[in-house]
Amino acid sequence: MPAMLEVRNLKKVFSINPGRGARKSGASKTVTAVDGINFTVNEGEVFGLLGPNGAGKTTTIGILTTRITPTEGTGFIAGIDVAREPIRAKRIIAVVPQKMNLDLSLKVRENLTFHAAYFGMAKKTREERADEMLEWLQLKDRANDRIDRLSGGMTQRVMIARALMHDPRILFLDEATVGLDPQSRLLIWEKIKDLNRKGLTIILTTHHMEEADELCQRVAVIDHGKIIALDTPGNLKKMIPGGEVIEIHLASNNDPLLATLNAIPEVQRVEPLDGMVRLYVTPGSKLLTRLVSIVEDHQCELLDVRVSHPTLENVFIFLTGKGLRE
Amino acid sequence: MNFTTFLALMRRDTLVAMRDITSFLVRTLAQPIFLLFIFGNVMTRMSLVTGGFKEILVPGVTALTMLFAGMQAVTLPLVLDLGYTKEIEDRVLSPIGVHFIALEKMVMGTLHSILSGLLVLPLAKVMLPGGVSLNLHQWELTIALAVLIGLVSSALGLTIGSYIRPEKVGLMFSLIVAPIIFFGCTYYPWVALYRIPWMKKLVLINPLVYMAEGLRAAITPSIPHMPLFWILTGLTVSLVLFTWLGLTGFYRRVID
Repeated sequence: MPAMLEVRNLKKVFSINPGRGARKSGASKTVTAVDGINFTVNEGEVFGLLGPNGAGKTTTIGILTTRITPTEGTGFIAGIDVAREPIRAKRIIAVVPQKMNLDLSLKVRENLTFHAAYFGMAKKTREERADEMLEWLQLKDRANDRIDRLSGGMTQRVMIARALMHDPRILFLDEATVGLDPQSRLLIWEKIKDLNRKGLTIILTTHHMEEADELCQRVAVIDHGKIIALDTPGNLKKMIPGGEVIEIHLASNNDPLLATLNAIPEVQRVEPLDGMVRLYVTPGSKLLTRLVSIVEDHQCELLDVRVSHPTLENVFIFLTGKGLRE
Repeated sequence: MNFTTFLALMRRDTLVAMRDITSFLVRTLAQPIFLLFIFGNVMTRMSLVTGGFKEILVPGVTALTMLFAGMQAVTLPLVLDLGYTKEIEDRVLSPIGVHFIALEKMVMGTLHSILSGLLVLPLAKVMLPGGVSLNLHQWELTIALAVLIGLVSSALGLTIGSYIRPEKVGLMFSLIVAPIIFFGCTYYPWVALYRIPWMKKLVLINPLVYMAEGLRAAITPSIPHMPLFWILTGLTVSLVLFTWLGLTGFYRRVID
C-alpha cells in the first residue's frame, strides 16, 4: 500500500504572548506542542491519534491541514509538502475541526454548495453532490435551515458533509464526536466506516478509547507532543501484562483461596479487592471452569465472574501512568 | 491566483450582503442624511453658513460616507469571521493563497464604498436648498478617485478588523473613528487651515483628508483644494501602508 501521509520529524513550538511586564524584561515563554513526531499512514487506512487534551493532536492536524506552520519538519500528503505547497495540498484534504466553524451567514445547503464552489466545482455537479450528501447524512429536511437552529449532532454531520463536497483523498477528523449523544456518535461511526470502505484515508484524533478501538486500523498514542506507541489496537493491548482480566466477585474473602489462585501457573497476578479478586491471566488459558470449582472447594459463595480484555485506556495508563481524561 | 475560487468568495459575500441590504442602507445613509440636513439644509437656511458651503460640504460628506461604507464592509464581517467560531476557516482551507482571501474582502469593501458614494451624491442634490453644483466633466478623475478611496477605506477596514479583538470594536470607534472624522477636512477645506499651521500639517496623517480633497478636486474644482499630485500621493501611500498592515494582520490571525 502506498503512503498517503508521511510525517517527518514534525515539531511546533508556540511562543506564549507574555504579559506587559514580562515583555519589558525580555522574558518570553515557549511551549512545545509537537515534539519531533514521525509516522506514515497508508492509503485507505483509518489512523488514530489517541491522547489526552493538550497532547499535541490538534496541533499536528493543524499543521497537516496547512493552518499552522511547523517549526521543524513537515508532512507530505500524497507526496505534496504541506508547508511548501499548501494550495496544492488543500485541494486533496478535508477537515472536520473540533470546534464548530460553519458559515453562520449561510444556510445548511449553502454551506455545502459554496464550499464546492470554492473548489471550482461546476454548478450542476455541486448541486447534485449537495443533495447526495444531505441524503446520506440524513439532513435532507434541514437543507434550508439556519445553522444556529441545528443540534450538536446535526452540526457535526453538516461539517462532515461539507468536508466531503470536493471529493477529498484524505479526511481529518479532529475529535469528531466530542460532546455528542450516543446515538449521534454511533451514526457518525457508521458513516466513517462507510467512507473507509469506499477507500477514503481517514486520520482521526480522539481521547475516547472506544472510538479509537472501534474505528482505527492503527493508533498512535501521543502524550506531551511525542508518540509513545504506535500499533494496531490489538497489538497495543498485548502490551498489558497477562493480557486478560478475570474478576471474581465473592460474598467474603478467604486467604487460603488467594494462595491457591496464586499457585495457578497461568495466573500472572492476583489483586485482592473489597469483595472481589482480580486476576491477570495469560490469554486463552480457559481457566473459568477450574476457577469456579476452586472457589467452591474453598466453600466461598460465588456472586459473579467477569472476563474482560484490556482497553486502550489500560494501555494508556500502562504507558504514561495516568488516565486519558486527567 | 485561483480566479474561480476568488469569484466564488465574492459570490458568497455578495449573497450575504444582499440578505443584509436594509442594514447596509441604514448604516451607510443615516449619517450623511443627518449631516446634509443639519449642516447643508438647516444651517444654510439659518444663514449660519454661506451658500458656497454646500460645495465644500458635499465632497466631504461623500468622502466620509465612502470611507465608512468601505471600512465597515470589511471590518464588521471580519470580526465575525475571525471571532470565536473562526467561520473563515472553511475559506482559508479553500485552494487559494490566504492573502487573496483578504484581498477579496478589499474588493468587496471597495464596491460597497463606491456604491455608497453613488447613493449620497444624488441625495445631496435633492436635500440641499437650491441643490448643489457638481462638476461631472472630469469623470475619468472621479472614477479613478472613487476606486482609490474605496481601496484605501477597505484596506483600513482590513487593518482594523485584523488587529482589533471583537470586544474592542466599540473602543476602536471612539479612539480611531472620531478623530478621523473631525480631523478629516470633511466640513472645511484643507487650504483654509493656513490660519492654524500645526493642524494643517497634523491632519496630513489622516487618509480622509486626501479623500475629501480629492473629491473636491474632482467634483467641485472651483473650491480651492490640495494639489492633485499630493492627493494622489497621500491616497497611494495610505493604500500601500494599510494593505500591507491588513494583509500581515490577517495572515497572523488565520495561520499560527
